[in-house]
Amino acid sequence: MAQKQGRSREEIREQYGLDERTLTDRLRQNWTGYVFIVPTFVAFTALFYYPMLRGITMTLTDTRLGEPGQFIGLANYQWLVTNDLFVYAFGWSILFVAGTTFLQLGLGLVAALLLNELGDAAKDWIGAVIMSPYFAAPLAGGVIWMWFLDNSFGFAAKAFALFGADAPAFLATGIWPFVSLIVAQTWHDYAYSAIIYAAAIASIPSEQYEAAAQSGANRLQRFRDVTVPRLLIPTIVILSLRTAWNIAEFSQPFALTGGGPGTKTMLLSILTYRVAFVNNNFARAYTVGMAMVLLSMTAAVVYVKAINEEENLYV
Amino acid sequence: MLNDNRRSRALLYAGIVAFALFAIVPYYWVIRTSFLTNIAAISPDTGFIPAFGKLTLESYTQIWDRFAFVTFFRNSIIVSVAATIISLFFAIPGAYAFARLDFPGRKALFYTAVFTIMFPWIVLTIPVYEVFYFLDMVNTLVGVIVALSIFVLPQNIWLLQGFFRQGIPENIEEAALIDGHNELTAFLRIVLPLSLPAVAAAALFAFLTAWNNFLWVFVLTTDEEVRTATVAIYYILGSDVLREWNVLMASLVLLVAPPVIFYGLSRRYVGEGLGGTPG
Repeated sequence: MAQKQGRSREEIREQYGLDERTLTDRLRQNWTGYVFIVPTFVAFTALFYYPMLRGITMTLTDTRLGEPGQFIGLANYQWLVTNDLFVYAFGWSILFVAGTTFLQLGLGLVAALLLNELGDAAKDWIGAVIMSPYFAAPLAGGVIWMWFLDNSFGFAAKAFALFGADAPAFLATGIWPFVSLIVAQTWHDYAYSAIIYAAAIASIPSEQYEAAAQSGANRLQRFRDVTVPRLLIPTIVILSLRTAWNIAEFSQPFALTGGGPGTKTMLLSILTYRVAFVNNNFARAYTVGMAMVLLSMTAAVVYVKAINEEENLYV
Repeated sequence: MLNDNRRSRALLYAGIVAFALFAIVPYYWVIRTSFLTNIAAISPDTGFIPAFGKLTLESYTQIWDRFAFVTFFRNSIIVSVAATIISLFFAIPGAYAFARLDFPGRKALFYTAVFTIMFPWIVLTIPVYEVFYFLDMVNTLVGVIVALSIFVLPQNIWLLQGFFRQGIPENIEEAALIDGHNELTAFLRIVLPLSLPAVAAAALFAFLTAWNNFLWVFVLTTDEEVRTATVAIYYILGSDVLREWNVLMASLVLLVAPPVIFYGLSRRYVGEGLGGTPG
């Protein structure tokens, strides 16, 4: 009895869950969490949070490499929207991203469905072959395709010659450089969606197919009613992640055409690089980059919505 | 019925072959060139599949005296190993905190970490370059290592937090807590040893991502002594010297082979961790 009297009203209320614990209580209770997360937080701050904020403030100045620069308001943004090359690169980037993302999604789905029909051993090594482009360095991918499409010595030219036809200049004339860039990028990254889809398909319990088959569903109906609903979330995930990564893609297009001939295939990523490190105009380069950030962050919001509470992350 | 089955089987194999060809033929063209002499590589008489007698390892021996590839590959290895170790040092506790521990601000940090993975890194190189320029870290291996460590960090965190979440049952830690461990020692003595396979997989991926990276090394270095193999190939491609295609392609094979072979071999064990739900 004496003990009970010693406890305060707050303690008793907390014991029965009538009071919320305060923030400081939670902080004290979870100190290990902070010990564990501090290194990550420091690393992200040093090379992500700080540079990002620094970049945004930079766009309001005329900073160049090694010169702090003066505040000039929105002049960089004004320059941006009136710059023909930027507008052109913006349009082509959207086309490039849309083309590669949907091709990667489609090819990845077909590859995953085909692989799923194979036996386990065959799935392993054929899978390794089909996925192999994804694991080459993106820069190497650019060089590989440049050589493959080379007008004099490439496979493509030789194959055309086989039929007595002259190969078009795949990296220069007409719509060919655009097609080449999209095809090469699709080649490099379609395996990503194949991997995600394969994991999603493998996680569908086979009982569901058996049940559907017993109730008389044919192959196509089984695919539509059992497989497709399970692929919805993976599809959103692939679309948003690949959109962001295709926007960010620099190495492979840079090696393949470098934005050329001239500025014909100029992508936003290559333009950002050129303004920053060829012209040394850091402020304007980051302003160009803001357009890329805007596009990828839109994709990121979709992604976060899709994974929602699930937190089953796909990388 | 049997007929239908046979036809769909044929369609399946046709599809598989088409994919395999699409994936492999560009590679094949590089490998073919790397085993020819420079004259044969550009000769129109050499067939799609060159005669066996024309194959030679000449280009693979020439790489080493034509360009400073010893330095380039050594730099690649130094930079990738260092970035792997540093990023794991950061990622292991971070991933564990995301997967298991609840603390105010966890959600916010978690979602900003999602954004880091989707951020266009080329944009970030600009302010980072400014910082490195200020700290005199441009054109040094240290600068490259720091940049790459943080570049591979998000990927490591995702891989490991998925493993901690799904691969290790929570009651293992609860049992450890009852046995008198606190959260820190439970992690160090119980969880970490159990996670070694996942840590090894993450280390492999981190190493190969750093190995494959072009952007950071390209932006942060100009000198040949601190160049990695990936960047070196770009410079050789752009140089005006008489191009020795077979030598260039041989160095490309050496650059691409390690990641492709390692990923291929490890696919069965850790492949799903790379894409798809980790663990």
